[in-house]
Amino acid sequence: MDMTGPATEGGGGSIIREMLLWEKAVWIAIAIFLLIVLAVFWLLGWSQLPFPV
Amino acid sequence: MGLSMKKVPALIIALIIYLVILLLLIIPQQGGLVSSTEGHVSAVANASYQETLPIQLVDLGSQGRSIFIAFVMILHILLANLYLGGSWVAVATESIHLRNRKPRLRRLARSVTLFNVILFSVGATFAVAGMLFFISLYPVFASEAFHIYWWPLFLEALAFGAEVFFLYGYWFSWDKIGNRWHQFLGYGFAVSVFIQTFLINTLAAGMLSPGSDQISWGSTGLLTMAPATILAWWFNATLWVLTFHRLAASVSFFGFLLAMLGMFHYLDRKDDASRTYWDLVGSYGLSWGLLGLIAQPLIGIIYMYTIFRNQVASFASIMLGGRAWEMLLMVALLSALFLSVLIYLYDRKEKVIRLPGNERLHTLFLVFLGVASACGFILVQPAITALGVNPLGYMSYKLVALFILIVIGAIVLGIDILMLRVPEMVEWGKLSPTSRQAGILAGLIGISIVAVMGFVRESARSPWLINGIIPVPGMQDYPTPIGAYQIFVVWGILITLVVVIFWFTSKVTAEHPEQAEAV
Repeated sequence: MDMTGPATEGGGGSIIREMLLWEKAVWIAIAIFLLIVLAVFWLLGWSQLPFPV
Repeated sequence: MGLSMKKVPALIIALIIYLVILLLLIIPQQGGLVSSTEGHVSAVANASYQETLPIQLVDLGSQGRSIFIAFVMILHILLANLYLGGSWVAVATESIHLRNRKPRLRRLARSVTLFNVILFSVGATFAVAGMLFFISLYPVFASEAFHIYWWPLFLEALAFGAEVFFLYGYWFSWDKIGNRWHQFLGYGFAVSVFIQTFLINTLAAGMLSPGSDQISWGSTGLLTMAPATILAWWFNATLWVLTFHRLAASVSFFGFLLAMLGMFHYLDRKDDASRTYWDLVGSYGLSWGLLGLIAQPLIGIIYMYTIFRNQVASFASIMLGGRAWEMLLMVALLSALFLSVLIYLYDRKEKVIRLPGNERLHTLFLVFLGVASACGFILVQPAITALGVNPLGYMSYKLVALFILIVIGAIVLGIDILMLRVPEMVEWGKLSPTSRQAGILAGLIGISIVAVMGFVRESARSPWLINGIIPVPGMQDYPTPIGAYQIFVVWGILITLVVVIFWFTSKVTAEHPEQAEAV
């Protein structure tokens, strides 16, 4: 999402850098989202649907 | 680069081949050419509600009425989704602009809002046309349904009023009132559209999962049924999940539409400033599209489970029976959409991810592309073929594939927003053919998937207008849903039509940069 403007880019080509606090928060939100997805898929899908069906 | 150049054509060819297989093999083998009416002969014949007025024909064959309704309502949905999703994109874009003061964000927020202003009346017109067609073509259904849903529909009319106030207030007060009040109007528009969608969904969801197995009228009064009964009709089983699924789908739809229109403007404009801007808009739209896309399968699973618990016959029809091909088509489009986004991001940010130090990121993208392709291959497998059960089509495997696609989408979204936020390292305004093709393809598939989703929900309850209670009048002489080949024609006309409408409207509403700005 590049519309938001320049990032704090360090030297060299690598984009691996120290994350800002809000960036860590976004990753945590994504992790929580994926846990919710896993829980829903488990509860409504795999727990009731034996493999391979 | 050579390999990268071929990814979009390869994806398009794979999609076309699958569509041919679907049409020629899967649909006939799964009973997709047999109407649901034919499969419910006795139930329809024994229904308490039968049409008493003569059937109004429209000169399009025995399914003409259904084709009329499908055309009008799917077109309405494609327009209504502009407001449900576009309102959030517009006001959120303005919010970001107010934080970082980038002129391009203000320009985009204004363009998106004017786009909504112009097309709002078109969407509303088709909504009203749809209602009129319901009354004319299905009078028993219309009188019963509009009677049951009087209060939600009345509130919806008020919500329409609020939408008009907020949308036009938001647009016409730009730069004339303070930022906080302007944001209030913008978010007011987004929330009022959501509420209006929720209210009309009481009826739309209630047709699939009615609150009772019969219509039990009470006496004259403010509530014409027992309170508990009428509340069960309004707040029926699939109301909330349908509403949130539509919200996620609309955000996704609008994001991909923005990406596609950005690519069109890029091709249409020759000056560097405009090309840089529309390149950035394409990237921005793809991010919104991906955000909505990863939410859809999650809500979709809850939706399907809710249908399974409440309307098992409809669930069986769309998952295992004669309508199962529609779900296959939907997941095929969903998979192609994920792949389009991955190809776009890989190609557009290739310069960054190929730099020394980013090797692992580059490898990760390639792995994601390979795994997502494999997931798509699993998802499009029919469970039953002429040769018997297809082991690759097991639902448990498909759930794994769907889950993996969501994981990939969420991680890629995070990488795009957080790690690839290095605009100065990308040559904006220099889009490769692959990126352009992927952006346009994502927009076209984003539009197509909305049209297919709408049809899946409607055909799930066929041959009923209100599931299990009011049948489509005319019984076996007027079978539903619309035949597989006919609905592809309807979709083709609709998609072509809305692309033309969106493009020409966008030509009018787009604000192009007068001079290049620093990225």
